Amino acid sequence: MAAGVSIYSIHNLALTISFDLGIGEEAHRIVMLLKKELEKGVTKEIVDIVPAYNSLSVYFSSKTALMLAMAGIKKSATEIATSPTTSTATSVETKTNTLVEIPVCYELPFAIDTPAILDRLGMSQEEIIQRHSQKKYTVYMNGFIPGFSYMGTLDSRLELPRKKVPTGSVPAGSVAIAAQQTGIYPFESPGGWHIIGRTPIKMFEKNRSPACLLQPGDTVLFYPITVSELENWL
Amino acid sequence: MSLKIHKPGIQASLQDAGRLGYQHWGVPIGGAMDILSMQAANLICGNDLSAAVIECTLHGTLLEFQEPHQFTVTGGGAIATLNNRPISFNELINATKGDLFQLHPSPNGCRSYIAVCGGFAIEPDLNSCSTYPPAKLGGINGDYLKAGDTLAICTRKNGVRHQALADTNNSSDEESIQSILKKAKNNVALTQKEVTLYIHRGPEWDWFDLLAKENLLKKQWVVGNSSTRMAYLLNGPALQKIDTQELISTPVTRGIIQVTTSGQPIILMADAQTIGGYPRIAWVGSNDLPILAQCRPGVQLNFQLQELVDAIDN
Repeated sequence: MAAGVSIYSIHNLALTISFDLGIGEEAHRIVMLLKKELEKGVTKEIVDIVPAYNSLSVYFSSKTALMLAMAGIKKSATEIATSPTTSTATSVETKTNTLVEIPVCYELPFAIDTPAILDRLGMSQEEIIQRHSQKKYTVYMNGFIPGFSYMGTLDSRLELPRKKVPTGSVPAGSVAIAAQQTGIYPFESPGGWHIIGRTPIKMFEKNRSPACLLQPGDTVLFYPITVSELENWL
Repeated sequence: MSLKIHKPGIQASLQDAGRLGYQHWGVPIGGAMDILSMQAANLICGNDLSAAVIECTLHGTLLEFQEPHQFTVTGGGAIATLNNRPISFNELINATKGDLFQLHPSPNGCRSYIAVCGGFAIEPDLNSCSTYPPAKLGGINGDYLKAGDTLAICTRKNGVRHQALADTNNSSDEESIQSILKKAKNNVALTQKEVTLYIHRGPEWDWFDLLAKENLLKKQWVVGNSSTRMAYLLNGPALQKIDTQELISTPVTRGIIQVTTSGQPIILMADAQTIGGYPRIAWVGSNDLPILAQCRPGVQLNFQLQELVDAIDN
């Protein structure tokens, strides 16, 4: 299926290419295909390529570089979005082939919001844990704060809208859900997602290479650990 | 060789040209809000154009030189004194051991930049010294400057004025250096309480009704009190969308004017997050971002629509 493409400026030195698709695997696949295509020709004129759910932004080092690249990017984006192979493209093409297994303690006191959402979801804590940890998730993008990865797609029975009033201070390592997404707060920060656990893994460490644990296209699997495993994690 | 912070003032922090190339990890570009004044400070001190400088917001900062140093202060937003005697902005100043530098209230401008000859000895994180507290990046331990902090200064012979200028034989480089100094000094927000900024239509321009577009271009917008390095909040009439369509979160950057659910426009600034979900009615052209950076809360903004082709060509 062909997806509509639009290309527009968001800054004198940045272009966004947006596909007329909702959040999901198909949009992600197209965005990642375009990212791969642009990386083939990566020159020092491209400063950054930032993938999102159904769009991708390219930051340039100069206006001249942006102007020169625009036509080529538009052509690549249109080809990728309209190519009949796109819809049948296997995940092998766009997945990074990296499976990251992340331990999560789903117990209190770390599952800060679990007691409040049991009734709304109409399920037990065990069922939340089971439904959250049985699925493989795709990392769609990083954003919000450094190392915050937006992952999907969540089991539809775990879907909840974001909190109406965000929590002022969510502890670092909090594993949370909202709408069709799951994510981990790398640092203490305000947050509007529902916290169902805590991981001891550092999502972002400036002196590690790469500093950001998860890259767009990675696959993530969560597995439950006990409170003492969390507390004794090295 | 060092400088001691007695009072940091409001969110004083070390900033350079920012952290480019990590937005795909969710790391904001950051860096000096008024890039031109940061560059001007470094040019005057003969430092690398994008060496780290101290960015001060309004007044309140009090520093002590612990050895003799040459330094400069650029930008505005305060009256600067050395041992209680006023000093000029954009000049190379000699400080002796024990001299106290202080920023006092002034009516206009918002941010001043202090550079020392030789530059500050700061370890970069992800290729930048720019301070970004949410992820503890840059600065001293990733935080804003605090009372009691000591900033080490790189040892280098003092006093080669405009060394960057002297080092170059290229007249176009010299022109661009003079142009930076001139533009930094002539920033209209350093002397006025009302400024006009060029904006371009944003990707969601047509999501807004006619009145919203008219209001954006014809009303005066006041920089809100809660404006930060992350975003400026603008006070004025609520901007209404035509329909209730929700934007799928997409990359955003400095200069973008988002409109929140309540209809309030906010302009993303240096520490803007990398992905946003509010519709983007417009964006401020990059040339005008240093002007915006020098607008303090209460300043009135007028927006003038500019076709993009002009912006790209200018």
